[in-house]
Amino acid sequence: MEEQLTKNNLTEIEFSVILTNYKERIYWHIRKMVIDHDDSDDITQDTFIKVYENLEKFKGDSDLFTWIYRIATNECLKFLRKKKRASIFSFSSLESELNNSLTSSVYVDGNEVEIKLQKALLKLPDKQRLIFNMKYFDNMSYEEISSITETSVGGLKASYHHAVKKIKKYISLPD
Amino acid sequence: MKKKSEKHPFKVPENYFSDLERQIKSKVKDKGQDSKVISIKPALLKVAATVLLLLTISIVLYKKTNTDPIQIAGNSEVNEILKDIPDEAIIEYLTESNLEVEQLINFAASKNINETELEEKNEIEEEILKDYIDNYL
Repeated sequence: MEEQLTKNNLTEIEFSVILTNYKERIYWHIRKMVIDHDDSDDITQDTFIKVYENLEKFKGDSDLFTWIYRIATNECLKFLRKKKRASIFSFSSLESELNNSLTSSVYVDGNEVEIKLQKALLKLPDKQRLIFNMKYFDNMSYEEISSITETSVGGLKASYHHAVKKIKKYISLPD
Repeated sequence: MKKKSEKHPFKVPENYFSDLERQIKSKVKDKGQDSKVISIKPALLKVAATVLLLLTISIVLYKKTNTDPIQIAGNSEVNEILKDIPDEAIIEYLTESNLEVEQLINFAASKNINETELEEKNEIEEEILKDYIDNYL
């Protein structure tokens, strides 16, 4: 008997397509923000569960990828805020914890320049790092970044400019 | 191990993305089943909590009205019973009871007993007191 196409299994089909198409891009976006693979794995899973739960509420007034990217970004920033609060009680800093993940993880294997760039990025405020990642690594336009971060294009340009300046300064310093 | 981009130094375990898709699908399936089974629980808990709260408030109010002597005295049924009891007996009871003066004043104020009435009562009280002292002390 032919299976009836209900609203529920339509959502499941849509979700399966979304997962296949976007899981890698979303994972890498999260990974560049939280550095650690296990944390990125957890956040990616939470992001897609949220996508599934809210798929019916997605109004289509923005691009589907932009919507998913925004959920992932919010999950990342929430995670970093939580980690920052926790680091106060362990007498360390978020930057040193992320630096530690960068240097000790078996899932990090870049050349010297790549590692130095990541270390420089960890010195930036979270929002500035996020903008730099989207522009430099993901080749996104300012308009796309603007709709994800809900920040004006002018503000984004200024933020990216400041980030590049700080990174250049850090990279030029001797080790 | 798979590396996505040459620009960053991050890698993932072998077959990670196919495992990730499987894990997410399984979690979503579990979540759907869980929500079907327990979706009524929060609503029931809210109703139970409301009933418990109302019950607690009722018990507290009931106990308060039934232990506060001023409230008892204000009750109309009690007033009917007190009509048949002589003033002297009531005064004697009140003297021996541990009611605070403030409680009595509040009660008088709540019943709109005017000053003249109170003065008359004072005179009676003094007479009764003298009588009490003469006869019993």
